Parts: sequence; structure tokens; C-alpha cells
Amino acid sequence: MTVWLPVLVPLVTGIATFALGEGRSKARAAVNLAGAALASGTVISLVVGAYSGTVRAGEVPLLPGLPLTMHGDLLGLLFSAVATVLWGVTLVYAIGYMDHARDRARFFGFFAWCIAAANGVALAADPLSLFLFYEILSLTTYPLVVHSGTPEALAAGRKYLYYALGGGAALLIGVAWLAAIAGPVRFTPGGALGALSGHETELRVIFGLLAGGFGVKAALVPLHGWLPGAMVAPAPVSSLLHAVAVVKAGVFGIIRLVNELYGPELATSLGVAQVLAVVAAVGIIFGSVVALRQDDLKRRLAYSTIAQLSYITLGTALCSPLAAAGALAHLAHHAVMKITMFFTAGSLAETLHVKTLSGLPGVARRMPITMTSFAVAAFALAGIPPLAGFASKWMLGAGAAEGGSVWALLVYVASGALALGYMVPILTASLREGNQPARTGTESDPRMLWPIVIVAILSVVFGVTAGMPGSPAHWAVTAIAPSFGGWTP
Amino acid sequence: MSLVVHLPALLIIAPLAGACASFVAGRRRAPYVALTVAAVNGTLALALAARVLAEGPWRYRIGGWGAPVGIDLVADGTAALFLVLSAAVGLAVTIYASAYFRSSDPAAYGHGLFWTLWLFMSTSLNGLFLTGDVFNVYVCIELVGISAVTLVTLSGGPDALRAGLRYLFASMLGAMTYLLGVALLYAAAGTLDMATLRQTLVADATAATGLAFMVAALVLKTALVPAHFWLPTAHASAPTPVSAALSALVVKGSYFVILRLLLDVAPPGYLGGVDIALGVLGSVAIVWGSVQALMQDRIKLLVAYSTVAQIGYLFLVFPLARAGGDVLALALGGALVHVISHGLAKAGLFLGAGSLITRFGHDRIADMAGAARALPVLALGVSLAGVTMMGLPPSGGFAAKWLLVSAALATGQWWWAVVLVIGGLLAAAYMFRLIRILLAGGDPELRPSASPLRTEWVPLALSAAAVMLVFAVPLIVRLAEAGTTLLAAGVTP
Amino acid sequence: MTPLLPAGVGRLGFALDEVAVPYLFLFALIWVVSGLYTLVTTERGTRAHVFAYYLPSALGGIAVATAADAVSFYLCFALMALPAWGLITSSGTPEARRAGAIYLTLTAIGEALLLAALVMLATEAGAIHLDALAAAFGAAQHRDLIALLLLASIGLKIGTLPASGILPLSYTYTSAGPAAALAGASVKVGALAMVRLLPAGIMPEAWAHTVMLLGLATAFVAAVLGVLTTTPRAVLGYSSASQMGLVLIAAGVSLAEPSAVVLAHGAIVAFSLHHGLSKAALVLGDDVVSRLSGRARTVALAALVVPALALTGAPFTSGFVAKYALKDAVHALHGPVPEAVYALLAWTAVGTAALMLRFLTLVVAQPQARRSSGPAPAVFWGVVLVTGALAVWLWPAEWNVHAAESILSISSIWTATWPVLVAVAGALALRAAPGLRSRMAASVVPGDILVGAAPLVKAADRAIGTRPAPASPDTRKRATGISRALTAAEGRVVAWMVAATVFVVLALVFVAIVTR
Repeated sequence: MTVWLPVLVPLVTGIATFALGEGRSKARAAVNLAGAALASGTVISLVVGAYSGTVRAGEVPLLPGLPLTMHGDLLGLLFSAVATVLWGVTLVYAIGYMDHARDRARFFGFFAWCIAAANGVALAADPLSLFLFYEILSLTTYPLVVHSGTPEALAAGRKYLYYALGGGAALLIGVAWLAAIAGPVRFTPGGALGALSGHETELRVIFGLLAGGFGVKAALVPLHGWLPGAMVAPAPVSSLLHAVAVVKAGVFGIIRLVNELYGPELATSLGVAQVLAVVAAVGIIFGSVVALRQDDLKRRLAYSTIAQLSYITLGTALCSPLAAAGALAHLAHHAVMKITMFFTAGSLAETLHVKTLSGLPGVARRMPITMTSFAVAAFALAGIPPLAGFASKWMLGAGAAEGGSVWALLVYVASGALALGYMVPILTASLREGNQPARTGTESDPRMLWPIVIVAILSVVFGVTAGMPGSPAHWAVTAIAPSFGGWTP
Repeated sequence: MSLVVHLPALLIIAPLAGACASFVAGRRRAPYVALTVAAVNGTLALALAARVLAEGPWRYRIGGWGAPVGIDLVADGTAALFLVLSAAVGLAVTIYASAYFRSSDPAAYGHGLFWTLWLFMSTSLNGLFLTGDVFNVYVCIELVGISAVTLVTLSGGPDALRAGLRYLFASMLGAMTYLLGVALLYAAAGTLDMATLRQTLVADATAATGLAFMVAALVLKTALVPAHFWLPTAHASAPTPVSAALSALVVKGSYFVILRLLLDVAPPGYLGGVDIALGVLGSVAIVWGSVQALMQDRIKLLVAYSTVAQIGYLFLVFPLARAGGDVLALALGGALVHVISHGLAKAGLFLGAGSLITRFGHDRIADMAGAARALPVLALGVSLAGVTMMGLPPSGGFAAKWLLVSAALATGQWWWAVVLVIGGLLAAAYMFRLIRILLAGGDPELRPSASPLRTEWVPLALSAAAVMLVFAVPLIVRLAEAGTTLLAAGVTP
Repeated sequence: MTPLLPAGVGRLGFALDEVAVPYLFLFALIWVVSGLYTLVTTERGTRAHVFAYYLPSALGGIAVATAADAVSFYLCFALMALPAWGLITSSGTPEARRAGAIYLTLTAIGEALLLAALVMLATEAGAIHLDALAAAFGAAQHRDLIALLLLASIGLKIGTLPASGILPLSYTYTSAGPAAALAGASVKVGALAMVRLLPAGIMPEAWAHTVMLLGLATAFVAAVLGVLTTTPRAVLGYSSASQMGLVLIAAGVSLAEPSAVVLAHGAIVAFSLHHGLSKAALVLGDDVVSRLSGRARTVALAALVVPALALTGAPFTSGFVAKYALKDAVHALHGPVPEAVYALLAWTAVGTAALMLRFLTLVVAQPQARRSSGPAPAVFWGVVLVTGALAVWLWPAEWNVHAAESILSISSIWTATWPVLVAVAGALALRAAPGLRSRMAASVVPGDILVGAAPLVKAADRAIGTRPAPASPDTRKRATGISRALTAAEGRVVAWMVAATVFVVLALVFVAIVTR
């Protein structure tokens, strides 16, 4: 039963939010925060269980021969923990950000449902169940993307749908086809398709379909087109969903696909992992380079996200244990780093109406704490030790070198240099002299300020404690190790 | 327990009695009669389904005569499913209509004749689902057709009359062709009873031609492209509760008969390439209907063309049925789940659309911006119905799509899978066009006119039921298994 | 297997060994004294701003000497190099910002190359401790690639051709105190990397020769560029590039010949100490002179000559020691290339001397601008001056023994002096040709080709730029045309006669299929 709670609690929270209606904002806030706390608690209890060896599982009959299955394994729980805990942080931020917005009940309701869907993706134990929640995630995020109702928002939403539903169609065929030739499969560390031989071509095509389907949300170039446009959504949406939940669901799907469905050995022997690696590498360079050119802050961050997500995809596709662990660790690290930056962008937009690089001069003086947090996250992203990004980048790079793919290592470090290139101008511009409205009281709404500080601190903590039990890096190593047959770093 | 055996007859008698009673009761009290009858009908249908699950199918000899002299009714799993669907949608439509007609000009709606006609149509539908005789099918279909046509023209407006006339024309054409087919079949086989036909039908040109005509006629009645010309205007111009019933139930009636004929009565492959032709036409319907829906400016026409598209899905089962065994089970399961989920969702969608029209005072989609804020329950109902149309999880539509795709992939006929997926994407295109406008900014001071609550909640209930249907799939499959010989190879529940 | 990062920052490795000590001394002295200089020479208002960048840089810059494993080295390297951007651009002028941008770009690239090399080495070694990395270098699978990455990274740091312009760019627009720190300490981290990270004695001879020749070329070309440039600080920048070219020669020596490694490393250390202190003295001195007037100014100018001479390797100066160490190292190699290098070494001193002459002339020509800032700047400068003059001689090490022995021999004195005389002669000759002089002078912008590359970068920028294309009216027209056609088609299908006909045809088709 516990394994269903991370899905059910946010689901019920969402229903309650809709039922409360637009008026009662205090009650709504209380319900949501309580829901987030409760959901986080259940995830933590599942984690504790998983670390001590008890993997909770559950299933519900659904389609003939294919029940809806869930299991609380360490791999899935990492994603689940990221999404759920950051949901709580984002709620505080969103309550501050959306103070003067409309349709807040709708917003918070669908927000909660997105987390429910994300947790479903995280804890699904077989491809069909994962696919189900994956599609639900697309649906529940749509109202959030178009929330403001402006023509740009609607256009962005339409583009998002094209991509998301197209990806979903590919996934449907892939999952159904796989079920047709392999019967019901569950995610198993190291791969679940061992018994299939003689179906090589089919397996390759299916991999392509599945990787493509997941690749849409994972912003694999050239399937990334929806992400920059989706930045028109309110900042809490961009932060949590497009930096944490939605995009991470895509890379998470790829991680499950390569490590626990096909397995590293099969993926490599079929040759599909290598192709995926090259595609991801292209995405890294493309995203980093295009980010350099963006004046709009959120678009810059969006392209950065495209590149960073491909870090994860590349690390997974290398099929080398340390790189795979690094990819999983980066899922968590990037989430906290990027969410800091999106929070900052939103805070700048709400408090100072600054949305572009050219509008930044003077901001550092006006909002020092916010920009310092941003700076911390930016340097973390660029891979400066001892921050979080360095830890996962080290694992990714070392894993690449270990696995004999030095080219991937060079891609990673090049991208790190490019990351400095697109992050530092934001800092330097903010440090210049400029005219910003005068300050009254705190530099911004405290509900928006504290979450930024908290997640920035997390970027530091995750990096400094990397390797110690409890840190995402260590967690990732423990979760990935079974897929590589008893590997230890 | 003996009463339970008579359920098939009761299912016909009850609504018939209700029709008479409502005529007598007059305009004011008719809704209550209808409500009662709907409740009774629902109970009876559920009871029948329960019995089929518990004890398997049975034949009911009316008046004790038995075939070939008398008319037999067959109560099996498939019939039970259709009956339950009919009852559920019927109940919802009744509740909705009681509010809908009260708030509109009585003269505009035939002075309360709606209830009588509606219950009459219910009777005919129930009879259609239970019949075991091909001529009886003709009778029931004609009755359904006549009541449906009358219901379409109930408002008396020029559009409705034109649409009704077109519907009547199609209905007549179909009926003639069907009768021709029955005549040929009877000439060749010497019997009209379905069970007997199954046992005695041999490869014979006359019989096959007769069947072909029958199938063609039923295809016209089910509005499969290119024989769909009558449906969009008929469904769009009818009063809202009628539209819902037409799209959800009436077209499914003739489809039910095709299922019976092709999968149960005729031996496999009896009609040669017709099943593939049906599959091709179904694919065309999916694409054509969706594209047309995308271009509609008026909401009910959009929903009507959506029906044209969704009907296409139903015909994909025939080419897949050739493979027999497990694949047939999957495909048929998919078709049945689709029938039920589409029935529920389409009814919800039509009722929701009708409510939107009443509240806004017009039916132009583009001018309904901001509805989600002012009418959240309606918007949610419409959106959830859309989820089923698109075949997205979690919904019955998804389950249906999955089953059909699995069947297609299992037989290696992957092109049907592609068609199914494309259909889903096209459905998303036109549904999200609607949803997007509902969610758009719109006028912040929008205050639509008031309406009874049930006009908002009934569509939501139907759509939610369609969504929750995904959890009922094992039950549906088990019921279908308890069909006559349709799923003889068995399906793992 | 590569180990995970050490759990927690506390396990990062810092250690003192014989290489660390001289560098720690150098870095600590320079950063601290330059910091004090900065303190007394910046206005109150901007102090916080400057020190916000200075302090992290100093921390990284000092700690890097003791970094004992790959992660801590990279960390200190980054910590020192990145905030330096703030020091370079603190004046806020467009040239300063452009210089900062170029600096940052090259630094980012250099750091990336360094990181790649470190990760690969750590993977080969299975550990991150620098000793382990050095030990694993020989058997490394990608030895050549790693060596190349390291050399490229170091080259970007020390201003090797063709990136010599990075050093003048870093110094020209910065204020004196931070510039002294950058010139005296920051650049020497490249030298430290040479000793700690470069493969010692295990590369093929061709590598050694190539690197030596590259260093020699840098020494000459940078000198030419520096003589032709505009401001004293820029001259000093090119001078640093030129001098570091000499250090690169020593690095080249260490690459191939195991027996020469100790000598080469000694030369590198010696040069680091000598050049770091002397260059810092020059930078500070230039600033001090501009704050003085009258007799004090003359005295300061005279004192400024000392580190200038030291750079040229004049007798009794610290440069003398460093040059000797370098010559010993090069001499340890045999073959045409090392011998050619050895022969040309002396001529590099001519270039240095020319640079110093140019520098001094420019300093003299500077107007005595600002108001005096008290004795403090001069005092701090004096500390650096004196330490620079004495430290190299007094340092207990192998590399100043030979120099100490030869200090009074006539031949060595002559070897050290004639380049200066040649340069002076050349300068006097130029005086006689004012036209040529004015055309030559100030013809090189600090940063040379790096600045010249800016338009290319801008063009690439524009090419990458993503602007959403406006929906062309053509596509919109086509869309409505298609929908109209479809609606018309539907209308036709739905018409009565057509529909009926279609249906009849359909029925007959079914029959035909069936009765085939």
C-alpha cells in the first residue's frame, strides 16, 4: 500500500484543491503544503525501506495480462524524492509568485496532479505502467503551460502537445510491440529481455521508438523544440516542471530503458546505445552553443536545460557503470541547480520586471541574496568543485574515460566551458551599474526568496557531501550498481 | 430465480410500458416516469449482466414458441455489455433532459413528446441488442430509425427538419437494402434464426450476396465513411439529449448487428475480402472524420464529426478477426471497450457541448474563450471526454486503443496500429482546439446564463465514467468471454 | 576503477612538499603584498567591490601551491582564475570589458582542457592524488592526448603563441595591485602545473624538441610585439609571455630526458621565483613612479631599473641565476635542436632588454598624474623589490649553486651583459630615425590577434542566433486553401444524389468481393 501513496497523496491533494475552489487561498495553501509534506514523508519511508533491502511493490489489474505495477526501488525513489521534495519547496515559491494571478485553484490543482503523475513514472515497475503515467503527465502539464491564456501561451501549449503526444504515440507503439514479442516484462536491473534472440531488428526499431518517445520530454535534439517555447509558462511551472518533473521524466525513462529494460549489455550489442550517445552529444553542444545567444533569461536557461539533460542521456548511453551512476546523480543535482536559476528568473520578473539579459544591470545591488544564490547555482552547473555539478560531471567524465569513450569526456568538459560562457554573462550583467526600482523592505517576497536560498544551499551540500551515504551521488551509485552486476566504484 | 430468466423480455416490456405511461402522464409528469423507467432499466440490465457472468448465456423463447416458428432472444455477454451501456447512457440522458426541456419553450420541443419517443427508442434498442433473429433485427432497426428521426426533428426548426429528412432517406435506403439481403439469405438458407444460420450456413453465392447487402445496409446505418453523409447534420441539429443518444447508442445498434453477423453467424472468412474493405473504410473514416472535425466552427458539428471518426475505430476489428484465437479476443475486447467508453464519453461530450451552447447562447467555438474559468465543471467534463477520444491514459479509450494496437502488432499487420495512433493524434488536434479555447484568457467578466446544476454534473459524470472504465477492462473482457462462441479461444483476464 | 570523489571537502588533499614550498612562498608573498598595495591605493567606495574578487582569487592562488590531488588542484585553479575577471574589468571601460570577455573565454577553455586531462589521468591511475597521476602517466592508454591537453591548457595560461595577447589583456586595464598579483603569481600557476602534471622523461624526443622550439618562438615573437605596443603595462604583459616562453623551454627539456628532469624542474622553479618577484616589482614600480614627483620620482625610477635588469639576466641579478639554471637544463640534452636552442637563448635576452628599455621609456614619459598616496605604496613595493633581489640567491636549492659559482667569472658576466648593450645600441640607433620610430611605436594593440578575432566571433554569434521566423503569409494562405478544399470536398460527398450513388456502389462492391 505504501508504494501507492506517492501517487495517491498528490492526487487527492489536487482533488481537494479543485474542490476548495478559487476563493479560499489559505486553506488551499495549507492543504497543498500538508500534501507535499505527507508525500515527502512517504517517499522517505520507502527510501529507508529500500536501503535496508525491502522494496515495496504493488499491482492492480488493468489490461489483460498487464497489470498496473509499482515498486519502490532506489532508482525510482531518487527521481520520486527529487520531484516530491522540490514540490514542497516550489509550493512556497509559487504561493508567493502567484499572489496576484488568476485561476490559482486550477494552477495548484494541476500542479499536484503533475507530481502524482511524475511519482507514477518514477515508481512504475513495468513499461506499460510507466507509459500510462508518462502520458498522464503530458495531459496534466498542459493546463499549466497555457495558464495565462495569452495567445503566446496557447501557441506554446499547442507546440508542447504536438511534441508530447507525438512522443506518446511512438511510446505506445514501442511498448505494445515489445509486449507483443516479449510478453509482460518488468524492469529488472541489468535488463529484462535476455531471452529474446533472433529479434534483433525489431528490438532496434522498438528501442528507437521508445528512446524517441522518451526523448521528446528529455529534450533530445531534434525533439527539443517544445521546451524553449514552454518557458512562457509562469516561473513555478518552468522551475518545477520543465526543470524537474517533466524533463526528468523523459531522461528517467531513458535510464530505465537502457539500464533496466534492455540492459547495458544488450543495448551495446545491438548498437543502439552508441547511436543514442552520439545524438545526446550533439544535443549537449547544440544546447550549450545556442544558449550563448539568448537574450531572454528563461530561454537561455531552457537551452541550458537541453544541454544538461543530454549530459544524463549521454552518460546513460555510454553503458559504463560510473557514467550511468553519474547520469542518475546529475538528475538530482541538475534539478536543484536549475530550479534555483528558474526561481531567480521568476523572482526577477515578478519583482523587477526584468526578463532579459539587457535588463539586468543593477540587479545584483538590488537583489544581492537572490543573485548570490544564482551565482552559486551557475558555478555549480559549470562544474566548479566542490559544488554539486562538479561531482556528477566528474562521475560522468571518469565513467566515460573508463568505458573507453574519451570523446564523451571531451564533450563534457567542452560543455562545461560553454556553460561558463552562458552563465557568467548573466552574473556580469547583473553586476554592472543600472537603474532598478528602489528597495522597500526585503529584496523580494520572502516566499520567493527563501526557496531560492534553500535550493542553492542544496547545490552546495550535494556537492560537498558527494560520496557520503545519503547524498544523491552515493544513492545513484547504489541504485545503478545492480544493473552492472556487482560493480563497486 | 425464474424471474431472472425472463429478464430479456422484461427489458423490452419495461421501457415500452414506460413509453405508454409517459404519453398518458402528460408533459409535466413524463420526466418522472422516464426517470423511474431508466432506473428500472438499469437494474434489469445489471441483473442480466450478472447472470451472464455467473451462469453463462441463455436463449429466451418468447411465448415459449422457439425458433423457427417463434422469435428467440439471446442474452450473452456482448448483449449484456451493450444493454448496460444503453442503460447507463439512457439514465444520464434522462436526468439531463429533465432539466434541458424544462428550461426551454415547450412548443419548441413537441410538447413533451420527447419522453414517449425516447422510451420507445429505448425499447427498440433493447430489442435490437437481444434479438436472435435476422428479420427481427430489421424490425428493431426500423423502429429505432423512425423514433430517432422524429426525435431529431423535434425542435421543428428548418435545420432540424432538413437533417431529419436526410436521416430518414438514409434510414429508408438502408432498410430496403437490408430487407433485400434478408430475402436473399432466407432464400438460400431457409431460416432466419441466427443460431441456426451459424450451424447451417454453407458457401453459397446467394447467401453471401444477401449477407453482403445486409452488411452494406448496416454500414450505412452506422455511418461509416463514405456512407456518413446523414450523420453530422442529424446529430448536430437534434436537441442535445437526442444528439447524445444518437452518437452514443443508435449507431452502436447497427454495429452490434454487424458484429453478430460477421463474427458469430458467418463462418470465418465467409465474406472474403469484405473485412479488409471494412478495415480500410474504417481507417479512412478515422482520418477524414478527424480532419473535418478540425475545421468545424460550431461545437456540435465538431462533436458529430468526431463520432464519424471514432466509428472508424470500430471497424478495425474485422481485418484483425481473421487471425482468430487470442488475437480475435484482443481485437474484440478492444472494440467492445471502445464501444462502451466512446458511448459514455460521447454522450458526456454532447451533453457538455449542449450545456455550453445554452449557457453562452450560441454555438461558435471561437467565442467560448474563458469558459474554463466561468464553468469549470463543464470544462472538466469536456476535457475528460476528450481524453477518452484521444485514447490517452487513463481512460477507456486508451484501453481500447491498446488492445487493438496489440492485436494489430500480434498479427504483424502493423499498419492498423499506425492508423490507430494517427487517429489518436488527430483526435488530440481537434479536441485540444476546443480545450485550448476553453482555457484561453477570454473576458474576465464573463457571466454565462444560469442553468440547473445537473446540466453541468451529468456530462462530468459520464466523462469520468469513461475515464474510470480503464479499471473495468478485466470485467468487460470476462463478460465478453461469456459471449456465445465469439471468444472461444479464451482471454487471460 | 576511478574512485568516487573523496567523501566531503575535508578529504581534499593539500600537502607541503619540496615543490610546494617555493611556490607557496612566492604566491603568499605576492598575493598578500599586492593585496595590501591594493588596499592603500583604492578608494573607499570601490574597495569592497575589488576585494570581493580579490580575496577568493588570492585564496585559490595561494592554496594551489599546496594542492596535492587532482580535485583540489582544479578547484584552486578555478577559484583563482575566475574571480580575476572581476579584477580585470573593475574599471568598467569598454576595453576592459572586452579584455575580460576574452580572458574569461580563454580561461574557460583552458580549464576545460585541464579537467579533461585530469579526469583521464585519474581514471588511468585509479586514484586522484597527484603523485599517483604522475606515476600512471607512462602507461596511460591515451598518454599523448593527455599530454597535449595539458600543454594546451598550460599554454593558454602562460601566454604561449598564438595566445600571447592574453597576458597584456589581463594586465593593461587592471589597477596596479591586482595586476601585480596576476603578473607575479597567477601566471606562475602554469609553471607549477608544468612541474606537477607534465609527464617527466617519458615522452618521445620529438615532443621535447617541439615544445622547446615553441617556447623559443614565443620568447622572440612576444618580445617584438611588446616593443611595439602602447602602454607600459602591456609591454610588461608581452614581456611575461616572452619570459614564460623560456620556462616552456625548460618544460620541453623535462618531457623526454629522464636524467634532465631534475635540472629542468629546478630551472622552472627558479624562473618562477625570479620572474614572479621581478615582474610584480615592475608592475608596482610603474604605479609608484606615477604617484611620486621630484627627487622621490628619480629615486624610484632608478630603483625600477633593478628588476628590469633582473629580467634581462644581468649579472648579480636574480635573472642571472634563473638563466643559468635554464642553460644547465638545456645543456643536459644533446642533439641539433637543443644545441640550437642553447645558442639562441642568449639572443632572447636582447629581446628582453629591448622590452625593458621600451618599458622604462614609457614610464618616464608618463605624466606624474595623481596626488600622492603617502609612503605606504612605496614601502610595499620596496618589500617586493628587495625580496626579489635576494630571494633567488639565498634560496637553499640546487639550482642556484652553479650561478653562485660563476658569479664572478668574466665570461659569465660578459654573457650576461652583452645583450643589454646590444639593445641599448639599437635604441640609440632608433633615436636617429624618428619617422621609423613613430611608425613602429604603438602599432600593436594589447591583445593583438585575440582582439582582432573579435569580429569573427561576432559573425559566428549572429550565425548561431536563433530568432523565431515570422509565419510567412504564404503558409497561412496555403493553410486556408487546404481547409477550404477539404470542406468543399465534404460538402460534395454529403450531397444527396452523390451520397445515394456512393452507397449503392458500396453495396455492389461488397457483393462483388463476396461472390468472386
